[in-house]
Amino acid sequence: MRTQSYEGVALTAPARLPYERRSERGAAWFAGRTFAALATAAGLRKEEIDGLALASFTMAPDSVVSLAGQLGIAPRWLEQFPLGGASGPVAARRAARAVQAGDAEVVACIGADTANADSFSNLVENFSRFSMDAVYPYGAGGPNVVFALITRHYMEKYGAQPEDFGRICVAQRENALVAGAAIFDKPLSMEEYLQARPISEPLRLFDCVMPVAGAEGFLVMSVERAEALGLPYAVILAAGERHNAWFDDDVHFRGGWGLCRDELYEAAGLGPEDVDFLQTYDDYPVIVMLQLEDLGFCEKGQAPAFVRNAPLTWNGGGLPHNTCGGQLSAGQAGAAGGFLGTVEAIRQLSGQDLPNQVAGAKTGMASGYGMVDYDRCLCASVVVLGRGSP
Amino acid sequence: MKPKAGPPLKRSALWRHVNQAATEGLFRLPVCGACGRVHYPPQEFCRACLSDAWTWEAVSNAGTVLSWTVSHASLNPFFKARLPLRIGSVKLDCGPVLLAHLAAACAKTGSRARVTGCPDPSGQAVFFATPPEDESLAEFAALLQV
Repeated sequence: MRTQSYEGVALTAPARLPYERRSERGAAWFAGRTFAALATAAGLRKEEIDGLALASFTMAPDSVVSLAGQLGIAPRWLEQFPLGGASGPVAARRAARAVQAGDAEVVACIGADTANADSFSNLVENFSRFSMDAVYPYGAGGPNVVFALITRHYMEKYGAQPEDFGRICVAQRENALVAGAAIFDKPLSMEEYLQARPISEPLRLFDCVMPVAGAEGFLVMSVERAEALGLPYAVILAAGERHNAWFDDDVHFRGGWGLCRDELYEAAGLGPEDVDFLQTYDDYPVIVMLQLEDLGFCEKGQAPAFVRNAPLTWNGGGLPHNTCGGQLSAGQAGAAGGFLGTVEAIRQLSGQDLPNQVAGAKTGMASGYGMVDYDRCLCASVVVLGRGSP
Repeated sequence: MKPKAGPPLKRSALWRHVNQAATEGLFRLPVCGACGRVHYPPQEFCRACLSDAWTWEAVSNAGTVLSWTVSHASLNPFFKARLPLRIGSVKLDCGPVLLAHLAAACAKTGSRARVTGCPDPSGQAVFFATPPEDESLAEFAALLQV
């Protein structure tokens, strides 16, 4: 059975709450301020937002319904995604279904997390039962250890060089400096990338994201409603999610995107060559490579060659990639990191006045990846978006 | 918050079986009674056939190194004092992949290794991968004492 189209649905009001290295505020503050920003941007009273979708690691013991309580709203549709870095594309497509079905008129989709001295180690130590039993006791290095193993395997299997990962990081920093608002706000040269201290070999400092506090969000509503409100918007051309794909692979070198790909491009009526920009989930540059391959921008194992040949900067004439600098520049604001690419994709396609606007962008893709469980992340998601408004 | 003196203490309820085996000097993993699949990390039912009729059985501790890293950062004070740490993933001949502290001699993809469980200073078993011909844990002494 083919999935139904997302026609008639608008993604609008892309918002980021500025990231902070540390915060004494709770996750609810970040989510609440984002909700307020979304309502203001859309010119809606808070009561008119009747759907709420949340992804957050640090809001516990509260959940999305506690957030609704604190916001003083009575939504008729609630959703919370324990999908971490995959949550942005998932939120977009599931909220779109709610709007299509008439279960909600306007859905606020929010990823929000705080960060303090203990929050990251608490999160890592308790991330999953497998992590608690079989990963954390080996040096308590967090996800760096797991992704170092994946990175070395990828390098040995496909011949990737340190410079290939560096190209991704350096280009993203260039994008971040133009887009602004990144935690890392200084230029990064290839030499600095290569000479940075090792974190978990072969990973170096700039391969790893900095945990920060922050939030990202957007609104999902009907195209009619967005136009009545005078809001520029993007539309969903296709979307997919696939979890625990290739679970028998001994080492992770491909993800669920590959199992979504054919249906995704068929539904969108286009191919990778028609995608004007790509926002991948960049927890580590090797995962960017997996997405480039699994989403069809190159063959498996060819991402190192791809990044050598195609400029990844927003205006480089290659494949504009992580055009606001991604998490490698902005920091990883918990589950908001899973929203960052989707929010930037909406921003790029909804006629805003961006310093890093990809010229003539009509179609963009944002992919997500989340929830490390033992030796890999299990969740993969992707949306193909188009420009909805003139 | 007071820094913890030892390595991480927290484990799931199933880990008691791993501790028991390590105390006896045995390598035992959960084996599905219905289809024979060997599991690691331990889980409540078989991921192949969904049976919950598993037993903890002695299995081969031999395997091959899939990948490895040297970690220079840790969130835990016990490990911070013992950096850098060599950690590897070992594909066991009996099926599953196991993360372990890795001997220097095994820091090469494709190396053959044997894994040994041993209680750490918190009393929880952790695994060490050594060359098959030398299963001594001497080079891990710092990880086995406070």
